[in-house]
Parts: sequence; structure tokens; C-alpha cells
Amino acid sequence: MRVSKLLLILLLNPVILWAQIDANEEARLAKFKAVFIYNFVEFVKWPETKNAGSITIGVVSNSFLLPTLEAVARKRKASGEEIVIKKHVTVNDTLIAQSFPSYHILFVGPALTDELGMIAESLAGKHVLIIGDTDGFAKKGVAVNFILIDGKLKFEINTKALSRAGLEMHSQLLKLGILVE
Amino acid sequence: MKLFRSLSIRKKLVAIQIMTACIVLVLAGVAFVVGDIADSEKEMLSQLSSSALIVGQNCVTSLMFMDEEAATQTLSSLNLQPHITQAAIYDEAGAVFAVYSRQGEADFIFPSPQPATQIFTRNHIELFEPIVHDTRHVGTIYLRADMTGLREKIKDYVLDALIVLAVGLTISLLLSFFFQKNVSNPILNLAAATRSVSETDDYSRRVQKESDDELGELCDGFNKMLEQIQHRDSELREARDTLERRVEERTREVEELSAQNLEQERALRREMEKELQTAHDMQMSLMPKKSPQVPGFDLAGRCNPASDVGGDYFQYFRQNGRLSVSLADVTGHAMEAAVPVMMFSGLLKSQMEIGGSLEEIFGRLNRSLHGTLDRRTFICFAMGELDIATRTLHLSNGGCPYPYYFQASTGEISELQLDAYPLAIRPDSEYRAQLIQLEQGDRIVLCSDGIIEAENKEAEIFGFERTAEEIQKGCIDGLSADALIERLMEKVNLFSIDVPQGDDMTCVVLNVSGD
Repeated sequence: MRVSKLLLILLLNPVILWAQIDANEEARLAKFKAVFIYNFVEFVKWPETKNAGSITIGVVSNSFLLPTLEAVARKRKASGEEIVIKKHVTVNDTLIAQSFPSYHILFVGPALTDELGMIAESLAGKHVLIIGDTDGFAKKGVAVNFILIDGKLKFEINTKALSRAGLEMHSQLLKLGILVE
Repeated sequence: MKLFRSLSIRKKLVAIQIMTACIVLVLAGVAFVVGDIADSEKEMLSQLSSSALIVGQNCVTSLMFMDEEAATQTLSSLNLQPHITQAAIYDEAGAVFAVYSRQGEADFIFPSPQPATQIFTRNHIELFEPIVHDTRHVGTIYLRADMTGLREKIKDYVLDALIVLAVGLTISLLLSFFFQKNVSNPILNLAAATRSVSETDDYSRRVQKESDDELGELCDGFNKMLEQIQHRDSELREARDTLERRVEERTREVEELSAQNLEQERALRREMEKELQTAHDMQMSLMPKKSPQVPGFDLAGRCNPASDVGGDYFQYFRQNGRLSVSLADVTGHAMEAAVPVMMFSGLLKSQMEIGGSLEEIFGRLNRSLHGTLDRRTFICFAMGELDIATRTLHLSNGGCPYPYYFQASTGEISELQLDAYPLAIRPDSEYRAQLIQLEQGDRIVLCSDGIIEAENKEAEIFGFERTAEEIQKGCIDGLSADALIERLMEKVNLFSIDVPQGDDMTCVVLNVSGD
């Protein structure tokens, strides 16, 4: 068993290595994503009523991004405001109806593919910037969606989703993003 | 400066004008060019700064979202500013994020980022500006601009300035040529007038006043001065003319006067000569014109006065069978001697009439003359008294040369040495007489000192010896009394030829002719 396990490990070694490399890449991207998210705060305009001295970022299911965001949050404050990270593993109606509307940013992981449409709908006009990092999410109602192009981190912007959420984005940021209908 | 000093005023004025214009134009040109260069550099720098700011701001999101393409694209918009050759964006960490190079300037090594800096090199300006988002430093922008365009512009400026300088100088030269006449002409006129006045002495010249400034004043002053000089000159000339005229008049007067004087003098002289002639005639009339005819004797006498009238005198007296022969010589001659001679003649005549021995007669004459004549005047006197019957001769002498005695028997001549003072020197002089027995052929010759002391050109006197010798020869030759005198006088004249006669010459000869 021990031998077979070792053998298995040996056999699977390239896979494990790959997985390790992939994991490193994921961590690196996560750091960039975290920086980008903080930078977005500076180019998105929220109504005055929503600013209560802190920026709240909700994160639903992303094992890589969360610690990175927290680490960066400790280092710097976005726009000079305190940053509060809310961690969620799953979503439920109460969360969607009561907690999410108070957030400035809501990051949705790939696991929420099915719930995304409903979440976006319920947060319409609530001034919540929904960010995702899953292919196709932009078309599904995410305002900003990270994608990789030639190994570089880029982001898609769904302007309709933005206006539905009741948010304005700085033109320079709009120029950098890949606009999606 | 020496060169400048020797220039004419016309050239000086032009030179000053040109120098002034030159200095002004050069200073203005330099100020203009320097100011413009400074302005251009400042403008370029501010332009570059604002470009850096704008481009930097446009790159903020690119930096924050690490979009090099977007930054590169933003930088590429700098191609609208062709003087910018290089540009770069550095990220927060200082790494090159995006670059831009002007066409054809690709191989450039970008420097590492610096805090806000401006670097001026020979042909470029380099600029570093931090890119700040809010208060956050997100990166650095670097711009490098080519200044050759600016240098070209400066060259153009300098060229323009030179052209302006040249044109300005030309205009200034023309203007100064045109206007300097206003100043230089009156001065040149004055100078020419001064020269002309000093060369020609024509003080009537005047200069034309051309302006109402100090030069006009100078012209007025010059004219006034000339007027005064002219006035004084004419006064002086007049005074000189008057003086000349007066001198001429005076000269003429003096000439007339002197001519008159000369005429008067001549008349006077003529009169005097006439009177002298009269005096001469009178004096000669005192002396016998002919010798008395005495049988057995041959007598002759002659007086040659040195001037019209003289101091010599001779006379014969014949009474009671006696014949007296006398010769006198008054000191001095001419009128000084002539008057005493006349007086003596009268005195002698009266004394001879009174009579007496020779000694008595000499003594009376001496006393009488001593009381009459002044102290300087005295009379030499010799006289012989001949007894015609016995041929005895009494001879007495007061101061005359010794009478010569020729003895026919021996053919010898001797001097009869009778010494006594001339008459009128001392009142108590005594005179003696010598008795001589004359024989046939004997001769007695009385001479005045005028013969003995006649001088030739060598200031040598005729002398006693020569006189004695000549008389002896004449006697031996058997000359008559008259011929003997003639020969003696001739010899003396020959001896002192060309020398004016200094004294009266008188000679009296008594010759015992016998028949």
C-alpha cells in the first residue's frame, strides 16, 4: 500500500507538478485580481448615501482570492477608506435580500453560475459592483469580469450591467476594459 | 582715440551717430535674442511639463491595471509633438513600463527613473515627472525633447537681429549724413571764415547764421568780434596813415628847411670867403708888393700863406741911409694870427718911425705886445738893419729860425745864432744885435719856420740842413734874390708834394749885388 501509494505518487508526479505550477499561477493572478479590485474602487462612483466611512467587499467562494484580498487590505486602504471583507461560502435568499445590497462590491466565484442571474436581478439599482472571474459571466450580468488573454490579466465590462446596478465607471477604466453587451 | 581726434567734425558727428546706433542696436538685439531664447526654453519646458502631466495622468489607469499596451498607445500620441524624441513610463517599482521613440530614434537606452527633474543637455531637455493618483505614487514619466529646432530658431533670431542691425546702421548713417550738416556746416563755415580772415586779413568777412542755437550764437559772436577788429583795424590804419602823412610833411619841411639852411650857409660861406679874400687882400697889402730898389743890393721877399690869411709878415723900411729888413711870424695862423699881424704891422711901423737901436726897438715892441696880446699869442721876429754905405748889417732875432749867412768869399753858408724869446712872452726880455760886415756876393736869408718845418708824406721835415744846402747851391749858382726865393719855394713844394701846406712860408733875401 505504501509502495503502491508511492508508486502512484511517482506516476502522478507530473500531474502534481502541473497542479503545483497551476496553483502558483492562480496565486499570482489572485494577487493581481485583488489589486485590481482595490483599484476599481477608485474609478467607480457610488452614491454618497452608501459611503459610511468604509468600503465593504463581499466574497462568495474563492479560496485563492480571499486571503490575498485580506492581505492587501491590511497593507492599504482603498481611497483612504477602511475596507471590510465579508466572506461567504454559499448564498441564500436572506443573504441576497438583506446583506448583499449593503455591499459596495460583490465578488462571485465560478460556483455561482446558476444563481448569478437571480443575484444580479435582485441587486439591480442597489449600487453593488458585481465582479467575477469566470468565462461567460460578463454576459450573464456581472459588471466586471476578469479574463486571461495571452497570460495577461484583463477584464470585461458589461456597461448594461453597470447601469442596471446604478453605477458609473471612470472613462479611463472603460477604455482599459473589454466592453461586453 | 588719436585717430578720432584727427577726424573732421563732419566725420566725428557721423562716427558718434553710428557708434550710438551700433551700441543701441547691438544691445537691443542681444536683449531681444537672449530674452527670446529664455522665453523659448521656458515655453518649451512648460509645454513639456504639461505634456508629461497629461500623458502621465492618461497612463494612471494603465499603470494601475498594468496595461502596457494602453500606456504604449497613450505614449504614441506624442508623435503629434515632433520635438519629443523619447518618452517612457516607469511603474511604481521603477521598471520600464512603456516606451516611445520618435521615428528613426529606436536605439535609445532609457535612463532609470528619477524624482521630478529637468535636465538640460546640449541639444535636449530631459524631464522626469512622478505620476500620482490621488496621493498615491503610481509611476514616473520621462520625456526627452530635441532642442535643435530651438537652436535653429535662435540662429534665425540672430540672423534677423543682424539684418536689423545692418538696416538700422544704414538708416542711421543716411540720417546722420543728412542731419549732421545742421551742426557741422556752421562750424565748418566758421573754421573756413577764421582761416580766410587769418590768411587775407580781410575783417569785412561775415559768416551766415543758420540756426538759433549755440552755433548761431557762436556765429553772432564771431561776426561781432570781426566787426570790432575791423573797426579797430581801420582806426589803426587811419592813425598810421595820419602818422605817415605827418611824417612826410615834417620830412618835407625839414628838407625845405635844410635846403634853405644850405643855401644860407652857402651864402654865408660865400660872404665869408669874400671877407676872407678881403682880409687876405688887406694882409697882403700890408706887405710890400715890390722890393725897394737900392743900388748895390738886390732885395726880395715873399709870403705864401697857408690859408687865405696867415700869421707871417715881412717888411722893408728905408730911412736915413739905412735899409731895414724884417720878418715876423705870429703863433697860429689864419684869422687867429692875421689880426695880430695887422696890429703888429701898425705897431712896427710906428716904432720904426720913433727910431732907435735894434735892441731898443725890439725891447719896445716886446713890452708893447706883452701888454696887448693875450697870453697864448706871441710873435717871432727877426730884423736886420743895413747901413747902405758901409754894407754893415745889424741883425737881431727873437724866436725866428737862425738867419742864413752866405759868404761869397768862402762859398760857405752859416747860421747866425741869435737866441732870444719871441716878442710878447716876457715883458723884460732883452734882445741883442749882431754886427756883420757884408762883402760883395754875400747873402742874408731870413726864413719863417713854415719852410723849415714843411713836411712830406713820410712826416719828415724839410729841415735846416736841406734849407741851408739849397740856399748855398742857389748862392753859388749866383741866383738873384728873387730867383733864390723862387728855387727855395719850389724845392719845398716839391718836397712836400701832395701834402697840404701846414704853415705860412715866408722868405726874405738880402743880396749884396755890388753894382
